[in-house]
Amino acid sequence: MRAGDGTEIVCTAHDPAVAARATILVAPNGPLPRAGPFRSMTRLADLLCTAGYRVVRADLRGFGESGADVPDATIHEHYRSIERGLHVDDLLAVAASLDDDAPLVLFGSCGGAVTVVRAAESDPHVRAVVTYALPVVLTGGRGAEMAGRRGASRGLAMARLGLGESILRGSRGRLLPGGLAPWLNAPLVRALRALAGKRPVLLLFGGDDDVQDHLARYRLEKGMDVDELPGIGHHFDDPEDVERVAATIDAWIRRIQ
Amino acid sequence: MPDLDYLFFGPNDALYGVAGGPPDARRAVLVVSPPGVDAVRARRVLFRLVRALAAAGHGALLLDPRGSGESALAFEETSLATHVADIRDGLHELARRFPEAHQRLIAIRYGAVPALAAVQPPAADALLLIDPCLDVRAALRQDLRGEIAKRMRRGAAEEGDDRDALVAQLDAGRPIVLDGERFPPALWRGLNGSQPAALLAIWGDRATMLRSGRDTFVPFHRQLPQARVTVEEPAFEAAALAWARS
Repeated sequence: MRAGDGTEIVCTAHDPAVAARATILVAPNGPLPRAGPFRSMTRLADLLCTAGYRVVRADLRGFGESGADVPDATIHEHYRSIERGLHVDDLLAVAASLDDDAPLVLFGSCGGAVTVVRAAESDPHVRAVVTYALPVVLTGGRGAEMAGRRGASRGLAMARLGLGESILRGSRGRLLPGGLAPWLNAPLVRALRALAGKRPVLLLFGGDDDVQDHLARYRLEKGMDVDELPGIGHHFDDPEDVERVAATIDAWIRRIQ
Repeated sequence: MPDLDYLFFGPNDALYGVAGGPPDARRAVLVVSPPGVDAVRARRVLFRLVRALAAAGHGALLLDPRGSGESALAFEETSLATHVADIRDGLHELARRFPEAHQRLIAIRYGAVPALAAVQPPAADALLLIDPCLDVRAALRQDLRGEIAKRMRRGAAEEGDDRDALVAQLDAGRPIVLDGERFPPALWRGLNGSQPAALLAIWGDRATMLRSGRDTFVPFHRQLPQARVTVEEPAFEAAALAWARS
C-alpha cells in the first residue's frame, strides 16, 4: 500500500484459518525491518495468528523494504527521529487500508511502541493498544542536551534541566515543562493521557529492562494496565520470551473483549 | 526508482523474495539473504542493493531462504538441505523472470556454503561471497562470544554457558540459542560436513570473496551512538554493483 505522500509501504499479513477475533497491526522496532529483532515479530505474529488474530506487520519509511529513504544519520539520531513521530502517519495509512471489520489493536515495541501510542491518539478506530518497552524519554536522555557544552553553558544547561526534573517530579508528571525537560517525549505523554481511561492500553515491560523506570518516576501510567514479565530484557533474546509476550497479549485482549 | 515485485514463490509458496529489473535483462543476480540474525541486520542494505541492481538494468531477486525473513519455517527447522533447495528454487525463479539473462549469485556469511553447494556443477556465471563463514566452527565460536557477553550483561548467563560447552551441545545434536533464535543442529551438521575449499576450487576465478570485516552488518545493529549507520551506502554496495557489471 502507499502512504499519504505516495511512499510505498510493504506489509505482511498473517491470516487465521477462522474469522479473526481482532486485527493486530504491528509497528516495527525502531529502525529494524518488520521481522523485528531476532525475527521476533514474525514469531509473535505466527503465535497470535494461531490464537485467532489477524496480524499485519509493516515496514515503515526508511527501513526494511519501504520505498522512501531517510537521511544518513547515527543510530541514535534515527531512534530520536522515530520517537518524534517519523512513522506515525505511515502507520495510520496502513491502518486505514486494512480491509476487515475486526476490532483493531495496535502493537509496537520500543520505538514502535511510541509510534502505536501516537497513532492511536489520532485514530478513533483503534480499539486498544499494547506496547512493549515503551520509552517516554528520548534516546540519549539528558545527556543529549549536555553534549558539547562547556563551562558556563554547561552549568546553565544543568540548572535548566534540574529545574525541569523538579517540576516533573513535584507535579507527579502533571506539568510538562517543555524546554526545561527536553529529554521527555512530551507528545507521547500527551497521547498516553488522551488514551488513559478512554481506550484499553496495556504497557508491557521486561523485568530485566529499565525503560519503565521513567514511567513510574513521573507517574505516567495512570489509567492504563501495566505488566512486567520477569527475566525478559529490552529485546527478545530468547525464543521463549516471545511466547510469553504473545500469551500475555492474548490473555489481555480476551479480557477486554 | 525501479518497480519492485514482492512475491511468495516456490513449493507451497514458502519462499519470499523481492524482484526488480527489466524482463529482457542480459544479466540477473540472485541475492541470498543470510541465515540467522544477519538477515535482520542486512535487510535494508540488501533491499537497496536489489533496487540499485534493477536501476542499473540488471535483473535482481532478493531471496529469504526458509527460516529467515518473510519465508516459512523457523530458523531451527532448517538444514543445509533446505538452504540448498531454496537457493536452487531462487535460481529457477530468477530464470523464469529473466529468461535471457546469465545468472550470478551473491551470498553472505553462513549463506556462503549453501550457495557453493547449491550450484554444483556451477550453474551460474559468477559467485560473490561477502564475509563468507567457510570455517563454520570458527565463525560460530566468534558469534558465541557476543552471545555470552550479552547473557552476562543481562545476568542471564548460566553455569556451563561457555563457548566450548555450547558448541559441544550443537555437536551432540541439541539446538543452542544464538541471537534470539535456536541455531539448528541439522544446519550445523551440514555446514560442518561440507568441504568449502573443494567447492571453491571448482568455481575457480568465477568466485569472488569480499571481506568487509568480521562483523559485516553489526555496526548498524550494535547501535554505536557515534556510528554512521549503513542504511545508506554500505561499504560493499558499490563493490557489489561493480562486480555485477564486470
